[in-house]
Amino acid sequence: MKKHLFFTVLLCIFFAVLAVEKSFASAVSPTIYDYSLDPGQTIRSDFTVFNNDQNPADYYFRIVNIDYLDDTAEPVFDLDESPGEYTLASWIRRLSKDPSMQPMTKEQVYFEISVPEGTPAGTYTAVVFFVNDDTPAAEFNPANVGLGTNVGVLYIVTVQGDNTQIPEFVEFELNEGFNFLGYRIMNLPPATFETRLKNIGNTYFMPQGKVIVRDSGRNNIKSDMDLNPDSHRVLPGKIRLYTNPFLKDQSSYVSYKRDSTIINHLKYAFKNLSIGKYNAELSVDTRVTGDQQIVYSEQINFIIFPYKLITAIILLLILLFVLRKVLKRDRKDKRKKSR
Amino acid sequence: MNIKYFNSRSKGKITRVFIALLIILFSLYVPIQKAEATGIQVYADLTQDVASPHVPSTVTTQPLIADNTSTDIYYSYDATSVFANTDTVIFTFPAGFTIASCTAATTDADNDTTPDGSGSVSSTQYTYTFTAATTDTEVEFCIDTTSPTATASNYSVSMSSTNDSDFGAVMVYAYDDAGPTYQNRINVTALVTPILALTITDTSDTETDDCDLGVLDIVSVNTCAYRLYPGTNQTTGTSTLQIDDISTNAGLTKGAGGDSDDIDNTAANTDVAGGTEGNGIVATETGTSYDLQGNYDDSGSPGDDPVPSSLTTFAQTSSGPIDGTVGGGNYLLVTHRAAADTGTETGAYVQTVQYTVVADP
Repeated sequence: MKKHLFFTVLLCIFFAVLAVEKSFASAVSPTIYDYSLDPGQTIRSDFTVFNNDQNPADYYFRIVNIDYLDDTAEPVFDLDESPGEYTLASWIRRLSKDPSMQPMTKEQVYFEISVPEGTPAGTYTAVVFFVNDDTPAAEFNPANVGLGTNVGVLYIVTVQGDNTQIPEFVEFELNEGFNFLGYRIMNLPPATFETRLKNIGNTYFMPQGKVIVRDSGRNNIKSDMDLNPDSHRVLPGKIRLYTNPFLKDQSSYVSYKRDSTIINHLKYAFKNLSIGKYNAELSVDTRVTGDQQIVYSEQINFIIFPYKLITAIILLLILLFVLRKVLKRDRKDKRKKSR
Repeated sequence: MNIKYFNSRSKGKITRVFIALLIILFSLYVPIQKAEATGIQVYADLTQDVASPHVPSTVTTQPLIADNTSTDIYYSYDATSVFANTDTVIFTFPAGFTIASCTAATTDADNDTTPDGSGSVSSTQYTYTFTAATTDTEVEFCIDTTSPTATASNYSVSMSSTNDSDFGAVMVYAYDDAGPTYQNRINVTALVTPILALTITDTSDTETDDCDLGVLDIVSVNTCAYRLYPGTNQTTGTSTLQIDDISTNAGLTKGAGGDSDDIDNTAANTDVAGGTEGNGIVATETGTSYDLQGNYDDSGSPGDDPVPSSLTTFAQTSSGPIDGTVGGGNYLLVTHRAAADTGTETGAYVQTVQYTVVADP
């Protein structure tokens, strides 16, 4: 009995110690590193990690290659942790030990990036994760979900050599609405313009450009939008989607998206009432270095006409008209009967 | 310049193309702020690096300057290869800047005690022309820099070089020095770097590492909830939050694999119901502009969803910054929902869910 009690107390102390080590707030700074390196070159890189929690915590680092799916740059991590020779994760070496951090503290952590000789020119991507992933103590909870965090610093390394940035224009389109007599007919804003660019070279490029919406006579500018305000890159072998919404009142639209009530819909619809014919023009400079700038230009004509709202109003009016007729007939019938 | 046009709709309409060209030329000459340099990493420092060779990655004093105040800034970078005679390095400043060579003008960019060139200024462009080859790839140029008046901002200074077509950019930070010119005033300045953060709390905003579903029975749906506070202070740039079940055996399980040892995951967009074994999550956005994605976005198809056993996009930002401070009201509320039936074996069931956040390229 005494032996059991001893082990129980020991277990309690063990788990109490573990509980103190748990923390679920973490942060990194900066968020992206972008290097241009030569084969055979070695550099030192560092970033700051934060434990912005009220508890101490143990963290570790995980270095993985990252690839991207589809045109929205949805990340796919290579978690097998045995990266090949010509992948960035295999070139990054941790110089700092795994941090054990007190509450509300920060630490500078160091890494070394060594590009192997003979590495083909091009852009390579990897992530250094700052990880905290304690597993739950099932013994004390019958049905428990343990939680962990992974906050990553994205490394983009362009290896110098025979670098090629070969942009391809894929499309500039307006998905909403339908085509009618050469115009795209839209019900309500936002008119979301989608631009897709492809990179068939081995080195990323960062396009800059404008989507300018004018009235149909092309006299007055209604909206002047940066194509790539977030400085997103088109990575080698990838298609990148850039979206630019044309909208008069952003806040009412956001409120409607968050809480899709009829009141919010009406607010958004009336605040964004922009009936008319428009012309949208895309001009994009793919910002390829030196004298290889490549420029694309496209146009879309579109009409904003709230046909759904107007149809609803017409139907409502017809309904009221019919209701009035029926009521009138009813009253007549009643009068006839009463006579 | 090799210019191509892909203009199916407006082919032949010269006016439109002309307007497009004007816009592009405009965008070429107006510097665009960048979060980080591209190509070669360029550094700006208020302190001259006298070591030879230079150590450009060591910035002793950040380039934080008062607006409209002439300041000597040392711009440096490590080139791809040594510079040859006639190579040039050009720094282009934003419109409104006034620049000049420093009083002690740079004539020995690689600081090997042998003069190798000189700088000249034309409008907002500083050009250093090498008149002799350098012995080092690391070079530093002193440029007397004056930002426009009363326009506190972060400015991007771009660099290009004929040496291997190196290019890059560096930020100079100017603060508004306006106000009465008292001799006893002090300017308080600060610099905030980009941060990406993720905090998990319970529904009372206390940090947590677990979500206890309690004791499951055969008539109820048990729930537990927590808040995810992803945040970034970047005004440009987006990030993606992913979800993943990292349990040794995926699912809410007793530890081993197999159907008898787990509580079945619900199908996508299907609510867990009392009396039927099931396990899933439902998420909602509050305040944050991290938008739930895929099945987790219930605006189209509502209902519980399973926790995936591989990293899957959970939410994505459309713009920054997003204040992820705990208690700030910007969070994603995640609720786990589970139910047992008479076929669910007794025991303690566990699942470990990890959330991953990383900036988009």
